[in-house]
Amino acid sequence: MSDAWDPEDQAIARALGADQNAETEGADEQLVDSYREVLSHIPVAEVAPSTGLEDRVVAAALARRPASVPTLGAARDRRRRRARRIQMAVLAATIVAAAIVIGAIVHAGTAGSPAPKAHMSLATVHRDDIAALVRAPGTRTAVLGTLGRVALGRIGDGVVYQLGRTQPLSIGLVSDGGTTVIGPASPNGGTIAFVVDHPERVKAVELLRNGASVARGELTPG
Amino acid sequence: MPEDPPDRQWHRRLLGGDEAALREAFQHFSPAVLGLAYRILGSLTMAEDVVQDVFVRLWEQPERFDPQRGPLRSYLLAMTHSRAVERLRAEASQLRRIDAAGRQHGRGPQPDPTDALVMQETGAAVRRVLADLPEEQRAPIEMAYFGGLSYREVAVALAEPEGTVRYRIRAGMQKMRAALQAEEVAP
Repeated sequence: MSDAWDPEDQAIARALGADQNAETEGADEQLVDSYREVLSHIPVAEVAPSTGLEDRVVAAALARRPASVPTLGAARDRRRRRARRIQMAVLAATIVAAAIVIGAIVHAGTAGSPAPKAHMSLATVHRDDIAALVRAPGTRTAVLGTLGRVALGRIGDGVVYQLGRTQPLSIGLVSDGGTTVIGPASPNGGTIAFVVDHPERVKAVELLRNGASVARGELTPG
Repeated sequence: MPEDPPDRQWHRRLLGGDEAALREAFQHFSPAVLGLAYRILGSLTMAEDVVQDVFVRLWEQPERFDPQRGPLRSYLLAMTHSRAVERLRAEASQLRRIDAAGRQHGRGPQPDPTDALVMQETGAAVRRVLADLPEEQRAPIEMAYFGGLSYREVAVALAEPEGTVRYRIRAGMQKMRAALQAEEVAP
């Protein structure tokens, strides 16, 4: 093993950012680029940016260099996002109100039991909203075997996500008082949203197909 | 090196000061940029700061990206890596970084807080080769790349001679590069 640094060593160290020494001066930039491209394919879990980060970044960028191309599209996008946020808020409020009514006709274990009441929502849940829910204080999550994941927020807003193409599924919310089964429904954009009135009672979540449990995950703090 | 046509379009539009191009680039690349920054820094707040730095820089100096030299994704991730490692080195002492990298060694990829795992569709060959690399080659590459360690620091963390570390990193990186090149020329 030689101690001499050749162009390969120099390029690799530069691409890795591990070149704190003078050995990499004069590295072949084309070779460095090729190793940077290699590194760009090393698997890293992608993370959805939080709501508002895009607007913050764009505002900071425009403060440095104003846009010179009319941004009708961007303005339209902003309006759409704002409208979507409002729609989501209205939808959430509607769902919560509906849950109170629908809960009465949803199976909820034996009468007087502490099993929570719940129902599904037809809303498509965007990836950003899932990320925000997962990050929110008090949210608990679980892995549902290989079928997907579930996140349940402190106020009872839940979503099963990362579902592939699958037949309609029911969701079982497991509590000490029994299992509240809702659905079935087909995933919408890989997600099934639901609302539960007493999320703190839900210990685990099950996915059921044709009445049989196909996956189960114990909820744990995210 | 194959060129991704949207990269050239983004480049032209960014040069022209098109805000919508910045937003599109952000929407397309920010999950990967944020994921890498978070993996290195372990803090979402700091990682989001890096994301802001990267995209502001892209907007402010779009001429620094040359589509002929490689894809926009690898340009942004290289900048992300550089910024994140700078912050990591500023935040943590050398000893703490070596210790952290040593403890992380062997644990493999860390989970992200959102569980929103979306892997790249391209570069599968690199990932296969990385997964198949012997531990003695994979570990120092990951420690240098994700831990922000120099070869000397990796050597300290692994209690190996620096020359051995350099040799192993080189061997692993060359295998991944060969795999990527083979994938790029494949029909």
